[in-house]
Amino acid sequence: MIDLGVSGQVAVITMHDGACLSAHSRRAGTALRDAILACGDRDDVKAIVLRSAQADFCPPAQAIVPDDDKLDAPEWSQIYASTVGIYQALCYSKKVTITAVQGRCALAGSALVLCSDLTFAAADAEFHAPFERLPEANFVLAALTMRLARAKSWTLGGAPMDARRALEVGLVNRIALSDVFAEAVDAARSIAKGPLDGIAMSKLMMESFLDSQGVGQEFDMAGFYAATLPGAAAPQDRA
Amino acid sequence: MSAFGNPASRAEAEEQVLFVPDRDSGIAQIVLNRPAKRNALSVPMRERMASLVRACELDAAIKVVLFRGNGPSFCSGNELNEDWGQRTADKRRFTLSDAVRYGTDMTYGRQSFTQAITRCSKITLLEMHGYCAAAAYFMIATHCDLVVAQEDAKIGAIEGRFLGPAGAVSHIHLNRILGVKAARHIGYTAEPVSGREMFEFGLVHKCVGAGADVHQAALEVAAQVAASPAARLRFLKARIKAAEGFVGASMPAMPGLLVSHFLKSEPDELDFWKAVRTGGVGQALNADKTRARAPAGGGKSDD
Repeated sequence: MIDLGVSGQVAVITMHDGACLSAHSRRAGTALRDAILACGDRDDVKAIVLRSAQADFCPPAQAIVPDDDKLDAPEWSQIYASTVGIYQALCYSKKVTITAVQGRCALAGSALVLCSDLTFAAADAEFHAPFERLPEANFVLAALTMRLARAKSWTLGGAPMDARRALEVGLVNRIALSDVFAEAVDAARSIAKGPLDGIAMSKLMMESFLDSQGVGQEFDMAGFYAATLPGAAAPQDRA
Repeated sequence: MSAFGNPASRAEAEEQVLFVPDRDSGIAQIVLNRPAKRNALSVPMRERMASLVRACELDAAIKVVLFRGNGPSFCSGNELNEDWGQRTADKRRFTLSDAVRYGTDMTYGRQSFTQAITRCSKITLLEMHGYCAAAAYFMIATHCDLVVAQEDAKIGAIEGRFLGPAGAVSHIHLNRILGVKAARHIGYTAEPVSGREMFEFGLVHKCVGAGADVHQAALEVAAQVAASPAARLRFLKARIKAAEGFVGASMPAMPGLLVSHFLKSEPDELDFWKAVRTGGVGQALNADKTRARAPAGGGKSDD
C-alpha cells in the first residue's frame, strides 16, 4: 500500500491507493503513518517527498474498505487523528515535507497537502476541499495557507481549484513544467544540502508558530467533528 | 435598558431594512433600502438587521442569508448625522462611559449586528456593488461567509480619511482575510479598493463584470449553496466557526469604535463633516478626495 525509499537524504513515500486513506483504511493508514514517523527518526533523511503512483493523487470518492480493514473510533483516532496520526505526524514532521500532486486531489489527498511544507502540482492537478467528509482535515491550515475568506470560499463554494488558481492563492508552490515528481525530488535534494540540525531547528520553530496560530487546537477538534459528521460516513459509524 | 436611536430613525427602520424570506428556495434576503443615503446604517437599522439575522437563525427552512442594498451602493457605512443619544441630556460632553455603553452594546449586545452575522449558523452571503465602505466593509463584508462583488465596487476603510485607520487596520478578520500588509495598506491609505482587487486579495468569492447583473450572480451562488442538505451546511459552518475561533477571528472590533468616538478633527479637517451634513456620506466621500490627496499641512510652509 505504501512504498518507502531513501536516496541522497531524500525519502520518497509512494501511495498506491489514496481513496483507501479517505475511507479510513486501517492498513493503508497504518502504513503511511509508520512511514512518515520512520522518516522523522532517520538521520539520513532531511526531506520527504510524498506522491501517488496513480493518475490521481487522491480521487474524490472514498474506497470501499473490506470489513477486516475497517476501524473503530479509537483506532481511527490513533491512526488518523491523534498526535501520532498521519496528519499531525506530517504537519509536525522533523523533516521538510513536499507533496507532489497530479490529477485529482481530494479528501485525504487535500488533507495531506495542507499538512505538508511545500506542494508541487502538475498542470492537470485539481484540489477539492476535504472538510465535508474528513473530520481530521485541518481548516486552520487552510486559512493560514490561503487566508480565511478563500478557505471558506473553497469549502462552501463546492468547486475544486485548478492548479493555476491553487498557485495564485498559495496552496501550491510551483506548477511543474514536465514531471512533477522529478521536480519535487530535485527541490528536496536542494533542501537536503542544508545541515540536518538547521532543518530540525527550522521545523521545531515552525511547530511553535503553527501551534500559536491554532493548528493544534484544530487537530484537537477532530474527534468532535467526527461525532457530528452528517450521515453514515462518520468513523464511529463504521465500527 | 437604554434606548438608542431617535423616534424618526426607529420609525423608519422597518422600511429601511427589508426582509424577503423565501422558504422554498431556502434563501432569505436582508435588503438595505435607504438608497438616497447610500444605505447608511442608522442605529435602529443595525438593530433590525441583528433581529432579522436572529429570525433566520430560528427558521429551519432558511439555509442562506443574503445581504444586499437597493440603489447605487450596497452601503456607505454607519450614519454619521443621526442624533441617537450619543450622550444623555444631563451631560455636557460625551464621556468615556457613554462610549463604553454604546461600544459594548454595539459590539456584544443587542446592537451587535456584526456578532449576529458572525454567529449565524446559516451561510451568510453578501452582494456588493457601488460603495461598501467603513462599517459595511469591516463589520459586514469581512464577517459574511461569501461575498459576490461587482468588479467596480468601491470597498474599503474610507472613513480613515477623517476618523483615522484604528479599527480598519487592527480588525482581526481583515488581517486574516487580506493579510497584514494589505490590511494596513488599505487602512492607512483609506483609498477604495475595487471588487476585482478584493477578489485577488481573497475577500471576494466571485467577481462579476461592471455591467453584469450582480444580484443574479449572488442568487446563483445562494441557490447553489442552498441546494445542499441543511445538515451538511451546519456541519461545515460549525467547522469554520471553530477554526475562526482558533485563529482569533471571533473577536469583534470594539476598540476601533471607541477610538472613533473620541477623535477630534482639526479645523482644516472639518470639510468632510460639512459635506456629510449637506450632501450625505456619498457626496462627502467624493468631495473629500481632493483634500485627502493634497500635501500634508495643506501645502503650508514653515518658511
